[in-house]
Amino acid sequence: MYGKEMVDAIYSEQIVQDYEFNPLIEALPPIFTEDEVIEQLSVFPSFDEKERALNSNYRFHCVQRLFQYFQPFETHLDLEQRISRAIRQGYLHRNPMQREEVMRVHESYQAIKAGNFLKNYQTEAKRTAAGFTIIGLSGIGKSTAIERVLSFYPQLIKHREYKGKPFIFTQISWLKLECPFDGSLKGLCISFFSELDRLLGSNYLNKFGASRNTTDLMLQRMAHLASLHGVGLLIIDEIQHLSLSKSGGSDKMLNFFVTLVNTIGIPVLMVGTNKAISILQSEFRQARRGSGQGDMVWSQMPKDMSWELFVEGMWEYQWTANYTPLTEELSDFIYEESQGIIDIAIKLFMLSQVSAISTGTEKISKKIMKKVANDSLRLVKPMLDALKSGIPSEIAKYEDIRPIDIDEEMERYKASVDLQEKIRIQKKLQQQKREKAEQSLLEDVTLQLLSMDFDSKEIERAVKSVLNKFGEDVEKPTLLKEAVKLLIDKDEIKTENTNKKKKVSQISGNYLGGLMKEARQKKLSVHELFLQKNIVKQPSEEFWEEGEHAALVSNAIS
Amino acid sequence: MAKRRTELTEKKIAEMEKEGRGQGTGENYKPWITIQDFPSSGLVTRSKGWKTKRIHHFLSKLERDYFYVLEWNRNVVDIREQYPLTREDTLFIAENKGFKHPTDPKSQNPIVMTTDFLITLSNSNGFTHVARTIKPSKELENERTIEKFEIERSYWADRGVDWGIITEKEMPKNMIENVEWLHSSYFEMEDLPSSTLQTYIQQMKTFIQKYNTSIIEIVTEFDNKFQLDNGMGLEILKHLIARRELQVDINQKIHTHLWCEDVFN
Repeated sequence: MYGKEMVDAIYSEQIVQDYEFNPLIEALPPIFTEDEVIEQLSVFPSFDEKERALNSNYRFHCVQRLFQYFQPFETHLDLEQRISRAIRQGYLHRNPMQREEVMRVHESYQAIKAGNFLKNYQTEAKRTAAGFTIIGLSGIGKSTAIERVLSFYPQLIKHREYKGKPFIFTQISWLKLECPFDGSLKGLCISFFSELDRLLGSNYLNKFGASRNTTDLMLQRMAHLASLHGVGLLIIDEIQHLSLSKSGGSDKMLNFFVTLVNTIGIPVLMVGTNKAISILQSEFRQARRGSGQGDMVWSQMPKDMSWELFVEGMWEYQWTANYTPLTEELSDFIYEESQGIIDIAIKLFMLSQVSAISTGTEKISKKIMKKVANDSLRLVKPMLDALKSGIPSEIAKYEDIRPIDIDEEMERYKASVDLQEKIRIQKKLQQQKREKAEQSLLEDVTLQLLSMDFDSKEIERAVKSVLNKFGEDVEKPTLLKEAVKLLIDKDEIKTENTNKKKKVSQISGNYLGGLMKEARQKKLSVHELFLQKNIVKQPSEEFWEEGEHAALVSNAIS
Repeated sequence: MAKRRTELTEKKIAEMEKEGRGQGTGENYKPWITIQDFPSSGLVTRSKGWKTKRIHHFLSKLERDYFYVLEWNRNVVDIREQYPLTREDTLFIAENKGFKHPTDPKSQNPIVMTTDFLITLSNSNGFTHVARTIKPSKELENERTIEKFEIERSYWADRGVDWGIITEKEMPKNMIENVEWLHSSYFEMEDLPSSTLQTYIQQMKTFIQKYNTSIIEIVTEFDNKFQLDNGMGLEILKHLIARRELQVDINQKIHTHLWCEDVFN
């Protein structure tokens, strides 16, 4: 897993002067124009007319593709702009090439060691990072939009050298967490640590996440790590869960977010359903006043041009045998039933197709859509009715409703599919089982290696390269032995590269002093022992590429 | 160590930073400590560095010796001597290890620690950095020296840069003497247009193939034949060796009384 999402930093010239000479900003993708954003945000999943002719079972899978469909609106462009600004503004005063940043990292580390709180270390430049909040009905597409925008930014950027100076740094351009269900701070910290571990292959969760640690300590470490790894934007989703917490938990967490924004300068983007409004209206609003980029409230979509665009785009994706053209009546009906909530509109359209396919009607009609709406949307019906009524107090009751479980609904329709189809699938399964019994040498070895806990992708690579080297007729023991050799070499390189523990111990401890003592005990000179431990180097044997050095040796012999 | 002319105050350090010391790469690099900072014992290579095209400053003969080893190595692309370490970091490391940070003897101000060589290597994986410190082997028995090395070592370990020590015992003596002898002949000669030099180079190669006699005889004959100033032939020959147009075993001392066929492959 480790390193998969990592890219090597490429520094680009900055047009905005403030962003120059900051490797964290220069490594980001360029600031996009509106057209580029639209193009990159949009997702129009593939669609082929021929797919309409496929067997119904395949078409159920095709229909799932509608989940990917994404049509950007103005709010999404606005969101992209805000995120782009927030990340850059946040990095502005966290330039690792500047002394202050180094000092700050050290101070916060020292504070941790001493068990103290983070000091307000103010640099000359004011930290102006800003957070903002997105509030919207569930299903309106907040999380999808954010994910689309974040996909512009490689999450891990590996720095090695900046303007000729060695600069070894792994930048995390964004980190997305979900607010824990119970709204507890510890839960948030733990998901922070485990997310870092997943990204970096580090071991922070074990180190800092033990439940005996106090919340304050964990928050302290979280702040430190966020700063150490250059986290560009912290996204906290589902903040409405904060309201569930007991005994002032939400105050504490909100205060912590403010601290993150103000002291380390990490922008925090909070995302939640309408339920979160009440939390935000309390003391937090006070704290955030005058800072930030303003909040975004996403309510139901009005029935305007954007809506038309969205429905027209979606309507093209019909996997029923017969195509139904979009009429104003159908469009109106979808709006009426979904009340401008995108998630519901898409699901309604999907389920109508599934229904049309499974019943053999093979054509979308208002009748089918109506039936689906009645059957499948009944759970959300009260909310939709409230939205329809437009009475705020009614809407408030359903601000955070349970979303439709699409899998469950799909199953319901699928159950009615021809019994014959099921028999056909059964037969196919049996045939596959029989084929599996005749395992080839390759599979055999692969399985054996898998049971030895090697990574499956690497096994594939290793086995292939052994086959290339020894030919297809290689005996099983040889194949196994050679593949294991390759895999072990690889593992060793890996542990060398990712040895984070080593790094931490560099700061304390006295490696060379220890060796000096060892030399005295063994009655060796320090020089002799250092030579053995490869601390003293042999200059005439170093840095030569293999070929060249070999040539040199042969000369020496002649 | 020699005495500094002025004591090292924060003001002085700020000035040194402003001068651009410890910054830049290649031709534009300025070492943190230059020989001007030391009244008498300091060494400068008189000719431009092969890789950097600038004059290098060394504080000891050992450092210069190591420099010659690096000059010969084709994978070395930049050499930065007296490379300053970020003081906040060394102070932090020293404190954590419970060591005293090195200070200026007069002002008691913490000094900026340096690493003798920061080397840029180019190999099939791209560019990497390597840090090397030069020290006479007997000084490794000094506990204070080891403390300072420990600070240096962990400084570079934190940055993922390989760090190591080199003493006089590891210096390849013959190679160093050879490179020292060749060093000034690497770049094209003054007052000699490069087209003319190219002609001489061709001629010199022919001479070496044709006449099997000692090096000194060949270059004297060369000077005579082309009516050149005494010693030009030898300069051209050295240029060819430095540029590796003539293959030699750099670990065998090149003497001018040796027969050509024993020196060149």
